[in-house]
Amino acid sequence: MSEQLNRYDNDTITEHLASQYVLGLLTTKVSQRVEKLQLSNQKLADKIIYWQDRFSNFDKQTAELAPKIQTWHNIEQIFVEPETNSTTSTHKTPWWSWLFFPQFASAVAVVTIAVLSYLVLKPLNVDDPLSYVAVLTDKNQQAQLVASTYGESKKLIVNVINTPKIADDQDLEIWVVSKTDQQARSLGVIPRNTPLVQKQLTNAQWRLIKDSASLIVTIEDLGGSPVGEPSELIVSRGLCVRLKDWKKNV
Amino acid sequence: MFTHQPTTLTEKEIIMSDFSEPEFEADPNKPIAEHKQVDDPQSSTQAIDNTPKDEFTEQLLVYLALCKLGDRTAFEQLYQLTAAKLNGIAYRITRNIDTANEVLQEAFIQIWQHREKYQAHKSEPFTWLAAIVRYRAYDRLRYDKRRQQNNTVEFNETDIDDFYNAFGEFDPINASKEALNTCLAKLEQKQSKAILMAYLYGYSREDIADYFSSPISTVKSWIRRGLGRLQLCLSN
Repeated sequence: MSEQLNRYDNDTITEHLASQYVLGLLTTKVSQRVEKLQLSNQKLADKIIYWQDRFSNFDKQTAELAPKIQTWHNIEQIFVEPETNSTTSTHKTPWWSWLFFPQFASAVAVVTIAVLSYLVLKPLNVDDPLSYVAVLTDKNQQAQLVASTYGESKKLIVNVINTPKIADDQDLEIWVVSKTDQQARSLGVIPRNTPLVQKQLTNAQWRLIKDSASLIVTIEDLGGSPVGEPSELIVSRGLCVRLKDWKKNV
Repeated sequence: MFTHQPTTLTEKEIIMSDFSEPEFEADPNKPIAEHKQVDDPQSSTQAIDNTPKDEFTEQLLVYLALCKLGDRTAFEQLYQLTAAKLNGIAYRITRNIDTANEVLQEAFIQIWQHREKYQAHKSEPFTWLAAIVRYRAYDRLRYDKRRQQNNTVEFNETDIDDFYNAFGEFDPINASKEALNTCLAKLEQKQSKAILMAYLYGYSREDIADYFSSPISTVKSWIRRGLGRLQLCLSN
């Protein structure tokens, strides 16, 4: 970590990242990294503010365009309880539906493992209720990972049970598939040889979890997908089970 | 700074080596809100009291301060006051009304979620709001890959000329605007145009290279040198 911090103490690198970020010249993935990095790197944050301020007059003089009325109504939905959203939302059958294993038996298996995971993990997080669980399985429905999220702390816990072997120049990356737009978005690379990993989710990532239909794990180049999209090498997948809903159904 | 000390690392090398660090936090005891920056609304407002602000900016400061306290009405008023301006920025970049509205929606959700991160003593409120919209619009452009699919770079040079012309009419007491305008005019034309194509319309380096029929490395060089000169000029 200290090497990483030292790297960003370099004025040239900081200046380069900040200016390119403000000009919108970075890829989405790199931009997201810069957004995260500036929270802990004041020099980078200050450089970004510097360039934003220098160019901001272009934004002030841009012609106005009245937004659609519906846009505000959509924004207001962030204040609506998720339960209400889920009862009113309609979504199409997603393109990745073929990925899911035969419904009933698998659903029972997933819920069973979810219960076991819940019971195992709950004692560690008495004040932080488990919110979502996904059991990711391979083609043969063998469990590979259990991903759990906790509503209070917005933490993602991944229990790595049995992941496939990958080459030295590859990494496994975990993605959340949205039920709204059926797109997969990265939650990050799964570190090697770590049986229990946890990640502090950003607010944006937490929204992705709340909107998730499933999680998938793909094999990517070392360091993660260079294009911000999952490869076709899907090694594991699993439906997201919302614990509150599940408990209601029991 | 760029011109005299070019980095030996490419952007991808920088970022990919950074990603080699595990994405997941290894320390379960790490404070959840370690990086959360919470300003006291009162002190934030006081911090800018000595600087004369126009009424629009003053209103934004008040609304953002109230938003930090969780005031949803203030959030709606903030939207009413800025949505058309910000939607215009989103449209400038995406060139699609539906997409612009989606970008605006995504940006305002982020504004609400990140309302505690705004620091009034560091940045003007509209600059902060507009930056969020721009970054979401750039992301959307990259995501849609609209221009790559078209495989052509359509760019109207008069768009930038219009901006220059409008610049002369906009807020004549604003010294920073004058300085930027003057300094941009001092750059080589390709340097300033490449910078503005990126900032104003979200063109990628590849798009700009296609437009000028020049290698990407050349475009990178134009932008790097242009920004270096711009910074030097603005500091003077």
